Amino acid sequence: MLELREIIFWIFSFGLICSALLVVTTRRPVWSVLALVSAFVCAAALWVMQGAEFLGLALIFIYVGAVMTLFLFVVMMLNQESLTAERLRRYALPFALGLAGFLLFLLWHHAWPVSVAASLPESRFTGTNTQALGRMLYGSYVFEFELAAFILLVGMISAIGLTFRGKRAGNKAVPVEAQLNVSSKDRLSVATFKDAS
Amino acid sequence: MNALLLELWPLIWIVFKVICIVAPLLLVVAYLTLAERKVIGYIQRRLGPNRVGILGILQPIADGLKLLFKEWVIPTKSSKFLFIIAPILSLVPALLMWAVVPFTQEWVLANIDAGVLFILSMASLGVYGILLAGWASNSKYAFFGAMRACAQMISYEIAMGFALIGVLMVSGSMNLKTIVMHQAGGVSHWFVWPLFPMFMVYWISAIAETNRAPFDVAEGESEIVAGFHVEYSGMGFALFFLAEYANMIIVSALAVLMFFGGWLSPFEGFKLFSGAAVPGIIWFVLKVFLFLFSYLWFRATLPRYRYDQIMRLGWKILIPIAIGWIVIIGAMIQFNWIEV
Amino acid sequence: MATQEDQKALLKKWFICWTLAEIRSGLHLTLLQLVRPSVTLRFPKEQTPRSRRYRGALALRRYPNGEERCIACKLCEAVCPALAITIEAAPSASGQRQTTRFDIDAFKCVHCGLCEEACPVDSIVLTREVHYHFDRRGDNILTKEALLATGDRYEAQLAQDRDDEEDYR
Repeated sequence: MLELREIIFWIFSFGLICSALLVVTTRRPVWSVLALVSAFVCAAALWVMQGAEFLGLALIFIYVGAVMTLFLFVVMMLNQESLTAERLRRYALPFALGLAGFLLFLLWHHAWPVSVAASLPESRFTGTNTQALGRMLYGSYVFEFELAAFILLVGMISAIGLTFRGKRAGNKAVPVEAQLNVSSKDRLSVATFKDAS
Repeated sequence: MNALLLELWPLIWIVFKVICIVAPLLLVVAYLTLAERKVIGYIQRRLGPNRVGILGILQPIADGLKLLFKEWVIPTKSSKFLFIIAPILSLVPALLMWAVVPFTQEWVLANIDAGVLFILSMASLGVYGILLAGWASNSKYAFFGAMRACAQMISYEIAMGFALIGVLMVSGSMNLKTIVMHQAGGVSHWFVWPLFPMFMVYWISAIAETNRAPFDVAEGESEIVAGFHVEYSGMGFALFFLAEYANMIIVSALAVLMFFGGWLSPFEGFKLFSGAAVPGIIWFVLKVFLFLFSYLWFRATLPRYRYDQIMRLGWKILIPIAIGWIVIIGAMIQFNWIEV
Repeated sequence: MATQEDQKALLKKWFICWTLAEIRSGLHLTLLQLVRPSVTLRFPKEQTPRSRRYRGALALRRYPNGEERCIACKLCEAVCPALAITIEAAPSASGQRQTTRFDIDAFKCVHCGLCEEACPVDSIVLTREVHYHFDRRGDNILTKEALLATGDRYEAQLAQDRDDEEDYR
């Protein structure tokens, strides 16, 4: 009889593969994004099973909770009929097949045959998982980590630079600061009338 | 047969514990709806529901039965599968989060190391239910509501996460039990004192995160009818309702655990009354109820925020405060001003 | 260059803003309201008091000896802005003018009370009663019998009200 742990492993691996396939095969973009979400969740579950609970939960928190939501946001606002798959298929298919072949080759070369039990090498760090990850990121990989952060910052600034065109003329948005700084004196003045008689 | 039972026993035991958590939780959710109507009623000098049972005590049951027997209308041209799955997707994470909440020192379902992160990640999953409900309904009001809710929840998640990082820094752990045990020693040892700005940021963003007044533009009855769940009726609506209130409770529980010493008595170390005779669960529940009351109190007091002001508050005020205070906490820890 | 008053005002504004003073005062107010008694009336059991001049259900009154007050002068029919009243008259057995038909369409009636003011003998009146309804189509035409029955039922009240209002009429 299979161990409970193993059953859970197979469920999530099967789910991961199925949802990954669904991402590329479905023709409806929203479904594709949702399948990707499900793939992330399955992958996170697999990571948690291997003892990397911080990483797994961070994957859900950051990718599923924030990044994929923004993806979904964009996809939901798209006009779905306008997506033509024809050109995509002509160029993307050979590329995807080639990439898949390359990855399979790598897998075969390095890691085949895969065993479920011994999938993670013995940890070099003591302490909890989170501490180990922290030492790794801010110790041996600090340069790469900071570089990645810097690239993200550049990306963010350039995105803002591309889209922000300054304040447009005729913009009727109320600046909140001005609104908050209003006092009763600015809105109301007491008029005094001289006696008419 | 016996061997199989023995093997499955842990599983059965876990399921039993899950039921022990979920059943009272749903009861609290039901009565929170009544409490909301009662408290807001009294604040507006009305009586609130008082017809079903004595003082309206059976009102939630009547409401539940009504919703249960209502027809579940599925709009034409809606995405049927997503429409049905959306309420489930919003309720499940709300209940899942309770797995890591320690009610007392012994009562916790899964005492995992990254408990705080688990709660945060499950909270972030709740967005999907709302977003899918809005999109699958094929209604512009629902879609607007979903968009608003989604943008708001993502923005405030960041502020909320930063506010909790302060607690993690001071306690040096992401395990909720360890965090609470760090606050042992009476009311003056609670994290709310050194981390008061963090607590304010947390509580404001928690209210925004659960889409409650004054940040309830996602529902916005006066502008977009009922927001993302406008097309839902019957049990679908009930599930969204349950999810919203379950989220309120978990967020209050998290505030209690992170800042107000969880199940610990506030009078620890006092000579006259140490509170040790009162079981920890009572303190925990009392503190959670206090926060739930403040939810209702805010709703009865504050008018709804304008949408751009919500975004401004989140990004330009709460997040900078939180980041700034993280730096200050770091300095305080470095110079041993607060004990870690 | 900001003057000292400006700086003071700015400081005050900042203080109010960052201590959430306005929100706290609002919360304080609502908390006070919470403990105050409610003003709700539990409707069927408790009701708001109605004025003596309340214009509710229509009725026809009698004299204390049981004789109908109405003398079929048709002033009410003439004054009714909604044309809700229909009256036909004939001499009675004792030779008095009396109505043979006195119908009021309750759907047309706007409860303006002009008929009551026009009536020289205090016959047609509006009672305080508001809780009435019609079960069947056609019941909305209040016949003479129905109106007299209503008047009989509330006579004590109607007489009392008119006595109390005597000085102002």
